[in-house]
Amino acid sequence: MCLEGGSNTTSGTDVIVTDNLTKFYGKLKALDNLSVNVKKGITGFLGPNAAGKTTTIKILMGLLTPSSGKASVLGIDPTKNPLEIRRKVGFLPENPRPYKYMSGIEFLDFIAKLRGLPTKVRSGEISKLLEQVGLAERGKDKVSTYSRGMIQRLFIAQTLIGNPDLVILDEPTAGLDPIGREEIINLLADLRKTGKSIFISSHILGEIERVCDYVLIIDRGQLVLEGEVDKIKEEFATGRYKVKSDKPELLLKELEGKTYVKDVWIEDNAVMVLPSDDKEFRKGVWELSVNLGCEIFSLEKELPSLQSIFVSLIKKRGGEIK
Amino acid sequence: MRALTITAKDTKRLLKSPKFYFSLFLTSMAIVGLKVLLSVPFLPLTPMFLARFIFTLSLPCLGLAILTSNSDIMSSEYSEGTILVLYSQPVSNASIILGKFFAMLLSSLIFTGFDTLLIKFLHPYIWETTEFVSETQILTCYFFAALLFQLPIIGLTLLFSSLFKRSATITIVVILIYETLAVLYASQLIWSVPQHVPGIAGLSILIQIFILLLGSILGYDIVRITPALSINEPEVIKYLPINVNSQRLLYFLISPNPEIALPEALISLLSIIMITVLSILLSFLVIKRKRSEYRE
Repeated sequence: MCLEGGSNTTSGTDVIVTDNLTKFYGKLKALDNLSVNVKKGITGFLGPNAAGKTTTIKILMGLLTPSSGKASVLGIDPTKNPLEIRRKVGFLPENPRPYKYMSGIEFLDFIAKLRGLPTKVRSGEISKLLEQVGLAERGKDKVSTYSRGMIQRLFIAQTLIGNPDLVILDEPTAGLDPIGREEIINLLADLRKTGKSIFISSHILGEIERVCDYVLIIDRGQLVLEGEVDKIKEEFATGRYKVKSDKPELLLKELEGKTYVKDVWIEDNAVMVLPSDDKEFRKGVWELSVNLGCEIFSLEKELPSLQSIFVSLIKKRGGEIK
Repeated sequence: MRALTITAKDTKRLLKSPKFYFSLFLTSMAIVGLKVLLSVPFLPLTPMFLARFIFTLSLPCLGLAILTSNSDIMSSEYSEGTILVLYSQPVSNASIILGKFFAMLLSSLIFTGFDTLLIKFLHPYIWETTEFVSETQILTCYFFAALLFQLPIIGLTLLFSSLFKRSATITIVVILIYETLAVLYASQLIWSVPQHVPGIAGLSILIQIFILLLGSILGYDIVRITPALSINEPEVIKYLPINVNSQRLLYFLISPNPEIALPEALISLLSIIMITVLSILLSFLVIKRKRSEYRE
């Protein structure tokens, strides 16, 4: 895990590299020397609104030119060869708008033609993708009859045309209702199984947490945290344990006097423990259950959600969560 | 290939749009309406007069049709947010512009083809006096004249559609440009300058070029830098509301004749192409600028 900065060492597994990327919109500094290395796998690119996520993605896709610094996607410089990047990378822009007069099949066929897919494979690939995103039965219907969630799934399907090495999704769940969001997250979870590298930008962390291996958190154009999801949670853990037992009162009374316990209390009918020594506590609690004749249903270390880590980090930096 | 994919997409869109059928109706009404009007028995009209009347009315109608039906060809991509679909694909700016241009050209072919057929079937009597060319050749001549007339309109519509968001603004701006040029033409301000103001004589070549360009945009007989035709061309070609050089070029195309001064005729074609290419280039620069700093 890395705080405030980020490593700048490029390796063969890096799919995205940025080096001191800076972008000004007039006097507004949207990106401030952003240096990140994104490895193969599923990476969440998180940050509050106006953190610089979409600006970074647009630079990566060659839609914006950086004020200074460099970027590389699959080893290609987006400022020098944007078309090559768009050929190799599937991209879902934020709030995508389809051609409403087209059907789902027509839209995917149009994109497949633009991506240079041969006629022979187009039809088969489109059917497969519609199946994959759960739109097989609505493929012939006009896009104007689709819900927001369906449009988003259609756009995710278009990112997969031609089986790209990397897929970049900008706010894939933005503007969707809970059902729509759940559909997209399930779809991303399915994509995870394909082994494709996916770079997802979002400010809705609870959902991203479920599908990402690695996260980058940015705020006001700067990288504030990066690392594997599990390791970040471990690092930010409060150290508290939640013990569920059939005799919580009895367990509480016994634990209160132990040297390996710093603090203990009852919350939601579970015994909450802040140990001074983790190893001793875990050993001792099982011994107690045997001695007291009480049953321990579960013993879990409380890990913070990505959302709470994110909120505390942004607040610590004096930012606002919108 | 990508340009043609965009052409196909935009043509499908146009064919599904009521604006297309309205424009088709507009162009056909000019000719059908004339049929009704001219069927009044006591009007002592000669076929040549009718030809001039029909051509003068039908060509601007075609221009208006191409303008109204395609004014949002680029602007709708921006206003509806669909431009991001194109931006996020491996499509160059040139492919986008050329794709749109070809789509407009295709719609122009449809309008002009329909218009030509209507003239053939509703006003066959206007060909009565032709002696040197067949009816098919005259119709072919009209067809190409109409296409030439529309080329600069297509270019300008594409340019202003790239610049502005609202179709109404685009239509008004293109019409205003034409109207301004028409007023300048009518007042004969421009071509009187080199002859009557001695101090400006040094600029005469530039002004002549400018007049040539105006002539191409308007499609009317502005350009008089070459002498009138001396060859035996059919009268009806002279009544096509296009400049002398364009008439000469069209006559050469339908009935190759060594008497025709082809280089002079080509000037007209070149100036039309120049205006069109210039508009396409400017449209390209506009979308290049918009794409490089695209923000919602």
